[in-house]
Amino acid sequence: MTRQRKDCPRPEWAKRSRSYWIESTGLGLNMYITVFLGCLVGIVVVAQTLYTSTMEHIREFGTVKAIGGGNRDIYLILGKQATIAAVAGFAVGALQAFALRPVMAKIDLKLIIPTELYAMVLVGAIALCLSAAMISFRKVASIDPALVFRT
Amino acid sequence: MSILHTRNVQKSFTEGRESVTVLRGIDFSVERGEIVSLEGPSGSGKTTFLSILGCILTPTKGEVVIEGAPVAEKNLAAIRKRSLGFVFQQFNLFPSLTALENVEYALNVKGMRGKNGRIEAQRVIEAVGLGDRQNFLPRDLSGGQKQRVAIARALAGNAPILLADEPTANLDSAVGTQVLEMFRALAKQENRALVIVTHDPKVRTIADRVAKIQDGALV
Repeated sequence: MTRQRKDCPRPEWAKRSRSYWIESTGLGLNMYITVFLGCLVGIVVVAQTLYTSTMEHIREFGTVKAIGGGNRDIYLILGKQATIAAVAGFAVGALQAFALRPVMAKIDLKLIIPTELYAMVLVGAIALCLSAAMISFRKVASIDPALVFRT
Repeated sequence: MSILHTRNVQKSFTEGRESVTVLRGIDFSVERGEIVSLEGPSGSGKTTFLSILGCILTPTKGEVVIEGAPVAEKNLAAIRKRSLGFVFQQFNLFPSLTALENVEYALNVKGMRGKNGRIEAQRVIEAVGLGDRQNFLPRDLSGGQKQRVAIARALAGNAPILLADEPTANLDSAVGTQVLEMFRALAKQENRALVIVTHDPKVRTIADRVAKIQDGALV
């Protein structure tokens, strides 16, 4: 890496260094692709899990509609499940990241995870899981409550 | 005055290119506190008619009037929520909720939440004789007890019309009789109209009136 010039303040130098590694070396692109793939795989897995669960409980959702519930009542159930999945996933990920800090320190790397990043990841995970629930939302919107009379 | 009546209700379904007529102009009514047994052979249109009475299906022709107001396609769910309680052949309880929670959830759907919902759920669970089993999951209840929970769920929230589809089909004879007698007593006590679709001759013994349906028409 280039040596720090004496007339460049420390924060400016840090910013330039980050820009260099992220924009000029391909490391940034790799990181973005990794994050994108992580989100994509996460959405697919959560969507598939929620959809399977919805199909397994289709009769119960039909019962909710038959007793007067609307799609909104069922969306609330699915939304709650998606949010639980997001919070549980976030908790596991955050704990792992937290546990990695001393390990990284042993190889002279400082893992800095600002609070804002934690908050952003949590909000992002909830948003992604709710998007993943959309396929299930579409399915339950088409449930015919008359299925409760089928044996 | 009847709490529920139908005028010339007809229902056809399209199967491929063919139209199959299931109900052929049914006039029917039931009053508050009245218990009607709706009987007929398989394929006669009983369940389709019950679905129409229950605002789950709409008639192809004719009219359904509940509590003095004609049923329209746009307010089916609202009428189910406000005026109807269902008991199903397969019980249709939510397996991960306890007996009390099953009833309480139905009340939540009907808009009764919090403390009022809990009190009403406890009232009906006790009314069906399951006060000591209110915290049991459906898997830990017998068939008769599950049907009692289903009846409690239908009674909860004071819907004036109760509709039951073969409520004794999955119960043995003795338990079926007990459940029917309890259902009759509660419907009468709370002045609810009760329509029971059934093949079970025992239902006649608790009904005020028997309506027979054959080939899509009342006979």
